[in-house]
Amino acid sequence: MKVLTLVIFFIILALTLVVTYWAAKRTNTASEFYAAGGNLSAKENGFALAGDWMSAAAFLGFTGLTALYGMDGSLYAVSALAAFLLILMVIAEPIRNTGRFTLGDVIAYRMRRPEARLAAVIGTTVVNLAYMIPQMAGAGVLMKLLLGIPYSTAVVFVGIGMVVYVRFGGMIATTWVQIIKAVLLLSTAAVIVVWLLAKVGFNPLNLFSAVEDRYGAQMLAPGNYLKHPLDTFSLALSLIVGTAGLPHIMTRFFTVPDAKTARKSVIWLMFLAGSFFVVTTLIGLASAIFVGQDQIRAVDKGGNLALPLLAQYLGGGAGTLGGEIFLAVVCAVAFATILAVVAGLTLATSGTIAHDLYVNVIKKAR
Amino acid sequence: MTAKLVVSEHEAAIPERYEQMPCSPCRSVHFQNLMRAKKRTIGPLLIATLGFFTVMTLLAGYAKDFMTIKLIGSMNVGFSLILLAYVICWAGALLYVRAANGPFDAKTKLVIEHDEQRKEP
Repeated sequence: MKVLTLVIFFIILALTLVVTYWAAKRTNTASEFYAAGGNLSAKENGFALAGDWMSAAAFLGFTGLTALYGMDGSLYAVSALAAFLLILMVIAEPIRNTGRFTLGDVIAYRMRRPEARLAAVIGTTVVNLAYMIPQMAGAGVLMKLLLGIPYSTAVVFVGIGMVVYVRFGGMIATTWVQIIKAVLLLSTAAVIVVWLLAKVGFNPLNLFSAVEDRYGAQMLAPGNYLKHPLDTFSLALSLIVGTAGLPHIMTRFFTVPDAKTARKSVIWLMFLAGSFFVVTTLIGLASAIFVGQDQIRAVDKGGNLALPLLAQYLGGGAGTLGGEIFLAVVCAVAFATILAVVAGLTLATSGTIAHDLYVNVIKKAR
Repeated sequence: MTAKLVVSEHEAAIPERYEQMPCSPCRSVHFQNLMRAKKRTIGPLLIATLGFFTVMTLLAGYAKDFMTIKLIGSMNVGFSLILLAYVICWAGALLYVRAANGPFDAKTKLVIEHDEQRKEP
């Protein structure tokens, strides 16, 4: 089991390093480093955006929430998609037109004062740190669980990996790691969904009735996780408005040649990530039925390992070869997800420190 | 990373351009046309789509009984609304792209062309 997981982990790690090596050879200018030269196609940027947005929080979090709390998890997932309506219609194209490498560029373009850029530096750094720490912690927990590496060693290991990707491969490497991961994640989800639907006679409605039979109608009601009546609205509001302030997502719009491509890449994202978010509900309900909430809680109180456990069950169960292969693949994909998202965050942060703070504020662009 | 890390060319050019003609294209009829068309499309689209989310999430908080009314089998109103929300997101996005690829891009082109004509003499 350990050997198998290790092998799959190292295959994914090796693949991303090959991508980084290939990207490093193509990275010669600042524009290539920060914005992949600004000539990605809508499809490439769309897959990379979808990769950014299908983070571990979506892959493990949405499915886990639905498994343990029912409807609240689905409401959470759909709100994450709605965020991109606002980005598509109001934000993506102007950002692409006014910025070059960072969100600071956009703000400085309109305000033309170093203080404004400094504010963007602080905003970007704070947001990215707040986003990066839970992802790193998640990677640490995952590696500890699967490989038995101590938590702190795992975190340091992941951190070094990120710096290598970003230092040598810049935005080109980050983009392609993100694309590979998006494809891996979507294919894994597709296999799991077809497999679990086969178990219920290809009728998703059977999942809902099975959940009701086992846990009562309350499981299909809202409010199991978000207790206050305004909580759901508040969560949706912060997802919808807050996503537009995520620097690693917004900097992706600098990688396309024009506003039209920026807009098309959001459409790619909305259909790719949206289809994935729809099936997180099915995956969540299925893990509640097949794995059971007690079992999910026993492994992780927050429910974050519902999907890996479901994969293990679908493969044949714990201890069987099929079950272990499925578990290892899903965990490796989750690990690749975290690597890719943390790489994006690291790049956005290094952009704001090097390009905004050092070049434009301290050196005054001289 | 041997590239010269300087501000983008257009950014460096801003102060001069702004001093000569304060916000030159903004005053043109074509620009205002574009902005009006954008507002007329984007406003209703955002109100309809995000309005749906507001109603849905408030119902989830305040109308639990309504959300748990069963429609087909164990499928209730709440999950049906969530499924509808996905469709609304996709439809809203496609409607916007249709407007943007057609009328908006045509009007943007006019703004750019007329701005360049002004600069030439």
